Amino acid sequence: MLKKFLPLTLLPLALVLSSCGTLLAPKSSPYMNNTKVQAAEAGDPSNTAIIYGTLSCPYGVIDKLVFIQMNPAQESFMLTAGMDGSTFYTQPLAVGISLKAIFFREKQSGGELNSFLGIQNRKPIDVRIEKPGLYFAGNLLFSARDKDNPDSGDYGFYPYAKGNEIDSLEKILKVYKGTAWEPIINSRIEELSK
Amino acid sequence: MGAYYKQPHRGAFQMKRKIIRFVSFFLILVSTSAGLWAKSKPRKPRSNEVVLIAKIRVTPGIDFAFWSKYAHVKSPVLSWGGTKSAESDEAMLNPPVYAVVRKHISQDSSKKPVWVRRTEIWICTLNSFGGAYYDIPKDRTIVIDHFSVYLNGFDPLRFDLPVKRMIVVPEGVNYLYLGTFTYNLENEYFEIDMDNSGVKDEFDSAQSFISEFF
Repeated sequence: MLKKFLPLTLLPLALVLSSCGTLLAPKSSPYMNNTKVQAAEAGDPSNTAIIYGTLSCPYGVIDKLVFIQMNPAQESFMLTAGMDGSTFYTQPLAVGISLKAIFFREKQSGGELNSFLGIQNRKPIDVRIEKPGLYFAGNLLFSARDKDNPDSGDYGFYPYAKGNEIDSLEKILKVYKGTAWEPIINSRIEELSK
Repeated sequence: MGAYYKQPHRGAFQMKRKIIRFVSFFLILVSTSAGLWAKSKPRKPRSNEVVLIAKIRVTPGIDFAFWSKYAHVKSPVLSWGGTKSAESDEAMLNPPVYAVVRKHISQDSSKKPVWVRRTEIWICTLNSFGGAYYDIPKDRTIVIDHFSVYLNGFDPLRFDLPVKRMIVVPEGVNYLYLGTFTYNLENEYFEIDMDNSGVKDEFDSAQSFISEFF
């Protein structure tokens, strides 16, 4: 009897656990214009920069973040950031590029929430790459500009969340191990550990 | 047997088909030409309507060659976001501008004005005169909240230009020129330098636009 019903009992449990897994730890690689970027394509650290940080929101887990390139002097592209848990990161990008977060997806227990952020006004997550190297955008929380007053509006990602830059760097290190970025990431971890 | 009975009617069927084809062709012709006429010559506003006329410019000019490339970038985000205009090629060089308008509907007990939810109306394309029909409210008062520009006609590629102007439509007026608005963009993130933005009066040009198109 138990044998007969055991698979039926375990199936919903497995589904719940798998959905929890998705909610807790999204993991994906960066995509450029819908094409997966390989770590082997890592750019030269002397003229490119990696943008990274953490993302959080009050009711769910962010598993997708899309940037748009805004500087007309550079190439037009849409970039889907790589995700590892709450950490997001880009592939190495050329100096001169101006990124604007245009879209993010939030996974909640009841489903998904897609949000568009527009192309206007520069927020802390929107980075203009002025020098090569590592650029930490911050531990970002999706909230109103005045986080204690939700009615104040001007929603976006602001550096109100708790987080540890070293955790983010360790996740990025796994992706860029064996590339020219490895010593740079390691030295930043050492610098922060002091 | 069936073939025997069908045979005499085949000619009649063919005749009917010809008539149906002719009528459909005629209807398509009439509707297309009516559509073209409507496009080239907009209707006159009704007595309870006002045509809001405006021209909106941004400086420095937008690099349309750069932004039009996003029409060909493969990203589900842009397609999910939807488009404002079906004529996307047209929208690349002449992005549609929408006016976000509110009207006063009633007063509550504290005599505070209550405003209806904002409505968005296509008013013009960037850098050109254009007009939008709007029903005149009972108190003839409307508020222009802001203009929204949609690059390539794409919803996600939107930026807003603040207006915040309350207008009382005078009696007997069915065309209202709001002004020629110039906004100075500070940087590539479409941040606006309001100190160097403003409204200019190009009444004569607006008047010739009205007489030409209405």
